[in-house]
Amino acid sequence: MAVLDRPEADAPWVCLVWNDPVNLMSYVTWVFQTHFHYPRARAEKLMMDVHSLGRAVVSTGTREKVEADTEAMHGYGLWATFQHADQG
Amino acid sequence: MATAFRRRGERLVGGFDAEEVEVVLHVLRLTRDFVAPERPGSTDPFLDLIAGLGEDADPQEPSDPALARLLPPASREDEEQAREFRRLTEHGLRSRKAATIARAVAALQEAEPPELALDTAQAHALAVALTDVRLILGERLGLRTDEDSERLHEQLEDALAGKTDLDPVLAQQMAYYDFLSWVQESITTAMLEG
Repeated sequence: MAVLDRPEADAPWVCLVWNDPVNLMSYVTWVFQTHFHYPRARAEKLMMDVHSLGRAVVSTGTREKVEADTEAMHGYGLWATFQHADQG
Repeated sequence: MATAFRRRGERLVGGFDAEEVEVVLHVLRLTRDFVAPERPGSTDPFLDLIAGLGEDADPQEPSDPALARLLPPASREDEEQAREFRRLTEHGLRSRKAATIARAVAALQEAEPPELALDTAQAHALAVALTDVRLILGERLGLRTDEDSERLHEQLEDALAGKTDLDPVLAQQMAYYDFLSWVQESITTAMLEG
């Protein structure tokens, strides 16, 4: 019952980063390590996903969290968006 | 001729002559003026937020494609979400970008050619600031896809090798872009190794 009743507000949100032709692979890796404190291997995997698949989910959580992550990514010059996890 | 950044104790040290430092300073200052908020802020972020909320018109997606790339929509599907996000964040984001670039400018002004020594915070600021510079220059050069980027690089190589002629203005923009990319790659690689 508790699971079925889970309010919409608790549904996880995601922050996505999109590929672009300007940002360097090393820089994108550095941003993921620096902002999210991901270990090197995870930061590199996410960077490669952005580069080869066109986008990657870089963080999940509450709407407030992924909005803050999106704003931080824009600060670093990466193109980020946020949305419901079950969207698209 | 510039040499790559290397870690020396707590600092990252690269080799740059006075002219190379001036080139980077020049483009950083132009970029700072370009991204800084049109409405001047106070020194109080809370007052800035209140001032932003009281504005009649919400900030629109910038008509200049380079500025639009620096301040991109936070949703590709939901315009309302993107508009709300822009209303709440754009002024602060532009202020922070301008402040980061100002820190990079201050660091370069302290340079003692032929050496440029940066502490961690300065290296961080320069790497981030150079991203905004390159995003603007990249947009002006028409870089929209990875293929555009590869083609640009080949054109520049051919021109430098004397195989083709290039419009001198375009050639200079491309040379700047290439040089700034090299500087950023050099700092970022050194920071990752740290």
